[in-house]
Amino acid sequence: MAERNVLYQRNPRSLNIPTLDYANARAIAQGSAQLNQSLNRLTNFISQKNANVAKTKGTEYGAANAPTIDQINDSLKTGKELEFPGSKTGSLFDRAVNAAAMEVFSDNLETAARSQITQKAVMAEQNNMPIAEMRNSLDAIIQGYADSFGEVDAGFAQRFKARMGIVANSQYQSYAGKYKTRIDRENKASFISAFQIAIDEELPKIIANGIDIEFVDGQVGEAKKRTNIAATTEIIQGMKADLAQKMVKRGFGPSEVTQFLNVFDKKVDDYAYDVIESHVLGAKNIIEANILVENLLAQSMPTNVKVAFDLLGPEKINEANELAKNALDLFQEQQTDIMQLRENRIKTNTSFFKQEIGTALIEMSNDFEGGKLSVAMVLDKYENLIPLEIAEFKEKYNMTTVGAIAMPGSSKQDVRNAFTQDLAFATQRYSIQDVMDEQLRGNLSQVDYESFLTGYSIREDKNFKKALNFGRSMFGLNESMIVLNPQGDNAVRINKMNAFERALILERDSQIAENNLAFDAFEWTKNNINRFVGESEDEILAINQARINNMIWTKAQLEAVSNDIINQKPLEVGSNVLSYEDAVELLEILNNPKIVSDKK
Amino acid sequence: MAAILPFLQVAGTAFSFISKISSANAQARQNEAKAYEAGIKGRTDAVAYREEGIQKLKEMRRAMSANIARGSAGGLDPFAAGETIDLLNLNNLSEGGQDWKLARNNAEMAILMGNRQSMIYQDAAASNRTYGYLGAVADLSTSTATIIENRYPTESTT
Repeated sequence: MAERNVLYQRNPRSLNIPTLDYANARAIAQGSAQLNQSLNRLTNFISQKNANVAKTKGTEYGAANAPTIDQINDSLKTGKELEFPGSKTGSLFDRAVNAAAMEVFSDNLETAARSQITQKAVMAEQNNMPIAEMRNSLDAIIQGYADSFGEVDAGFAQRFKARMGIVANSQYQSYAGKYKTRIDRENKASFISAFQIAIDEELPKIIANGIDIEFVDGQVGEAKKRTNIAATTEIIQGMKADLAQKMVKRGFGPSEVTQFLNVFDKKVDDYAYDVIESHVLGAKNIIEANILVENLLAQSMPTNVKVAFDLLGPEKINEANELAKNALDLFQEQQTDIMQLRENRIKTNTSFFKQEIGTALIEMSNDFEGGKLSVAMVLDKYENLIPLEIAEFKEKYNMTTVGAIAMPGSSKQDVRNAFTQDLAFATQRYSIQDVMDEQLRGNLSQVDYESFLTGYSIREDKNFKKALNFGRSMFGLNESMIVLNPQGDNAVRINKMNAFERALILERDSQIAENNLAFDAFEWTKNNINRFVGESEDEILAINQARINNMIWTKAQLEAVSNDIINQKPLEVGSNVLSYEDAVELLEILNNPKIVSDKK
Repeated sequence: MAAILPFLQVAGTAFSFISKISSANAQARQNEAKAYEAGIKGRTDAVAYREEGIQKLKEMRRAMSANIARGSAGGLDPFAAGETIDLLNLNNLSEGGQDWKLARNNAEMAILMGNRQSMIYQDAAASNRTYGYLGAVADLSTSTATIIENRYPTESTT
């Protein structure tokens, strides 16, 4: 077999072009990107820096040129539009200016609004403004301020209103609370006043008099002649229910309501007891009072008293009966007191009568007609007050007497000595009337007359008499020492006695002048007698001499002495009658002493 | 502690700048190395393609020699023009020549492209440096400005 021819085998490879790695482009792209980032950071930083500067400067400018409070208030008054620097759509600087101005403006506005709200709250409290008016006032303030920049920035105005609304609401809540408290307080005070009137004025009348009507199916029926016990009870229960209802309406708490109703119940009981007590105390005498109490215990009583028992209820009937018994004791005490009061009144009136009649008599000595009229008026005035005393006075005053001392041929000195010794030794031979008689006869000087009248007058008082007896014993005076012309030791003792007696009278007058009617002469004598016992004879003589030398009386002293004389002892001796005319003459004679001005 | 914070910030900024410069240099050197390697590789590939061409020529000669030997052995004139052997060897000659040319072209292409790749890497190295330095400077500027911006007095003002 022939071999095959050999063919050359082609290389399967084709033209091989190596692939290039474009690292340069990649490096440039990567480097550029990184550089770009770095430059962006740098640019951003610078931009931010510039923005901050713009914002800062804008904020400063806006804050400095924002509308002031004065401008705001002026705008509110005049309606002039406010001007705001910067703009909302301009550059960053402009926007910052506008924002800062609005911020400061808002603060200013808020300050002004807060101030007005506070002022309004104070005014509301001072003027007791109703809360609705207060609310409207606050709303008006906020709305007024919000309107001032509502057109500039509506959103800002809304936020401002919201903030101020909180402030105003706080003030409103505070005021509303105070307002409610005040109204409640006033309502309570008004109720308490009405409550007091109800329990102090209406309730006692209803309980004391009863109600003479009755209720028929809740309506007032015709008046009955007799007190309707059920109607009275019903009325009082109705009052109580009405008061309770009013208290609840006026905001009283449960404890307060209970407290007031307890007071009401207590008052009802008290007035009911008063009716029962008054019923007993209204008796004309003790016998009738006893009968009334027995009837009460037997449940026999007038209708108005039955009302009281009905109000008290069966559980308090024992207390009511006990009260009636106690009222009987009270009635007796009252009767005693009334008697005592009557006596005291007679004494007081008698004392006043004596003073006034004395003044009138003295007046008569100066002005007969006028004095006579005064005497008649005094008598008329006291005629009904102390009829017995007036009658007795008239009777005594119409009596006169003849001299019991002066015998035919007696000298003035004899008469003087007789009275002096009678007073000094308390022999009680003579009386006031004797002194007056001797005065009428012209046997006594005015000074002696007054002195003796005073001496006899004060001896009418047991206490004075006791005091004088005590003094007399201290001076060692007794009847055996009587001498017509006191000389030596006796004279000294008598002078001491006279000095002591004058001091005693002066002290009494002084006490009366100071309205001390309870002057105790005996007590004063015990405390002061040593002062007079211890005086030397020369001193006593000097005192007497001085008194003689200065025998000058003021008119007031004279009147006082005359009053004492007349008040202490009415003009009476024996059975002879001294007429008013005689008395007038007597007082004219009394007027003899030298009278000087009170100023001396 | 508060007093040393500015110094720490300045030191950090400086280290960051140096680090970025170093990073740029490192990337540049890396690309320079690649450029060198790319040149070497081009030439190496060219030598390989040349050897491959020579080998193909040898294979062609062996085929032609074999055909001549077989023809002679079969009683044919192996050199007679226009005869079978001649025609076969002409074909072998043509095929082998094409392969040799192809190898030669590939060798030239390897050298050219290797050089081109080397230049690209060198340009990349230059770019690494340029942009690395610029970025480092830009960051340094930003950091410095921030430090100045955030500065605060270390002593109490009166």
